[in-house]
Amino acid sequence: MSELRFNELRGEQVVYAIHRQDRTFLPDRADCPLDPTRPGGPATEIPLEAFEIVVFDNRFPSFEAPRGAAEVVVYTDDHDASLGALSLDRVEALMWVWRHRYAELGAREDVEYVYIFENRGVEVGVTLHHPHGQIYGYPFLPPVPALELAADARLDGCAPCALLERERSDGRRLLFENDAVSAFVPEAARWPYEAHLVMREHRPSLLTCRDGELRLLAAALLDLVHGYDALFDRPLPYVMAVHQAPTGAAGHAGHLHLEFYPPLRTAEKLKYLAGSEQGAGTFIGDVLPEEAAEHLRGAIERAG
Amino acid sequence: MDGKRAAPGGPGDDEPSPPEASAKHAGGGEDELYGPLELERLRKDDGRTLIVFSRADGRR
Repeated sequence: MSELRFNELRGEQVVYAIHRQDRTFLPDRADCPLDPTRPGGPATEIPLEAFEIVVFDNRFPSFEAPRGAAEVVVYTDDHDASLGALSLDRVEALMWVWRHRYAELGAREDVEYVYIFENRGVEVGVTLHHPHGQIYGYPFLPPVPALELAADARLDGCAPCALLERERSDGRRLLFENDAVSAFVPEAARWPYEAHLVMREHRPSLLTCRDGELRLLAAALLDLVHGYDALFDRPLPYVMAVHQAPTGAAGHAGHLHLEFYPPLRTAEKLKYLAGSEQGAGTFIGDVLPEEAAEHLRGAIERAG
Repeated sequence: MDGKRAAPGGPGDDEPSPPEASAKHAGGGEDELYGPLELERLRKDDGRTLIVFSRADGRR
């Protein structure tokens, strides 16, 4: 069981999950625990010969009942695939899986915030290459969604709605749009090629999306990831963060959007979180968001 | 489901209800439908839950 301690200087919870020190770390291809279990082969986490999408409780959880949840979402039984290599039908199905888990975990008394995310690439700490994401059910409201609620208060309304309107009006950082989703590099991006996918209508969560919107979100997600991989002609590492309304005492205000944080500033150079970012909390940017958006638009067009 | 809280985003929230997507039980109560998905809940040997999702329309 993890231990929570409150860091008074930062005003935040720190989670100690010391059992995770022994978690599976970059196993050989033949020993992937997220592969299907094949006849005559080693037993994996998934006791099936084939599957589409599976979700299971993390064997090395950061949170577990009765104080939260930690789940693994395996996108495909194809070890060598990636999110961007999946069909639109499969990614749409993944949106429904996310929605199902948001509803079910969010209904639990011990979950205050449902956070869906993917770490892609060893540069951001991936320990298993098989295409997968994770879901944490936090037993408290974490700092980032708390800051988004504070932004709502500061802007006297839904902050993502207001910022989306600004981006659409400005246009310089807009990447693309479909009938439900707008993609842009935010005006004050923290990461060199950070991008956001934002539902154009006010949708607090996946649960409030209308007919067809999940497929359009899936299509936008694929367009962006394809563009990312074309940016430097290599699989681009990133952290993908799905932000939705809290599910507990903080209320249900929010606006569904996906934030991507790729750590690269060039094809080979990483953006490190160093002195200013870690010690003072201020990001120093190497690429202007307007230039990043121009590069990304070109990459998305090449990938299209 | 462990808790008693109503699902967020459902009736009673400010936003309109989502399109019909409520889970329903089929057969012996182990297979469910959710939107375009079929799901089956399994229990691993060590007690952890595993949910298998497949597209009900067969599209992959």
